[in-house]
Amino acid sequence: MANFHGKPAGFDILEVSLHNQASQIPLAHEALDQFASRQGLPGNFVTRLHVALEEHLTNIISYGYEAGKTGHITIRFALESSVLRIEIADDARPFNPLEAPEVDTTLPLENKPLGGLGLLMIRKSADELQYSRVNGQNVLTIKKRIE
Amino acid sequence: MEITKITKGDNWELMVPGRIDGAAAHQLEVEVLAAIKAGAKEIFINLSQAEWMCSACIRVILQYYRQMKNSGKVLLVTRPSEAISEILEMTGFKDIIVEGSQPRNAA
Repeated sequence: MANFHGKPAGFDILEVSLHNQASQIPLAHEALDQFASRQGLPGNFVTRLHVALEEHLTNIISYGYEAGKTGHITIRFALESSVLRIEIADDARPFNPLEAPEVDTTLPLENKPLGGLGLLMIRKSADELQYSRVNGQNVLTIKKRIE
Repeated sequence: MEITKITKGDNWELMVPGRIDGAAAHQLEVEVLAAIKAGAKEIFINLSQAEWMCSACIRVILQYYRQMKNSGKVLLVTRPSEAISEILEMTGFKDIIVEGSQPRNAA
């Protein structure tokens, strides 16, 4: 089950916890919608962040855990002045998505690789990405400026 | 999410609305396979009502674009919404959009 923890301080932080099941990913999107609505963020601003969330969570759940292992993923949304910050922490095996090779987007359709698109979409959807390994957890921070 | 199908002979249009996440991408693949099995020679994926799409959706479209092309048939994206156009452009997939964005069976 997912848990929503609305924090004090004017609802400027929202946290959602998921298990490593693809069926839980929509709960992360609902949390982003809820947070964006609270903050009055326009729909077109958060569209790319939905894409980044979908891609990162799919990668974690599909490839991060051994079969049958229950994992925990925590997502925190925060608004810091004019920057929306999304922090995704998981207890999957170590993986730094920022070290993955870049996909060549200029290849013709016939030669494009089928893999690597998700990481490209995460990179292109954010203004800034940070990765750290903290206390046995991968932590990816996605930042996007509100213009 | 409900995918709407419009058929005219061998020409199919699949309208995929809303948020195209991994589950919706799988649903699209099922519909594309059904269209191919039914003998479709042209399949247009109408994304005019789509909010966003994930990489799994792009992979489905690319995979069946190639399969159809190798058989002398057509599968392309038509009428992409602004958000979908941006995603296809940033990932280098703008060529998957049909020129003129007007399939023959469109109203």
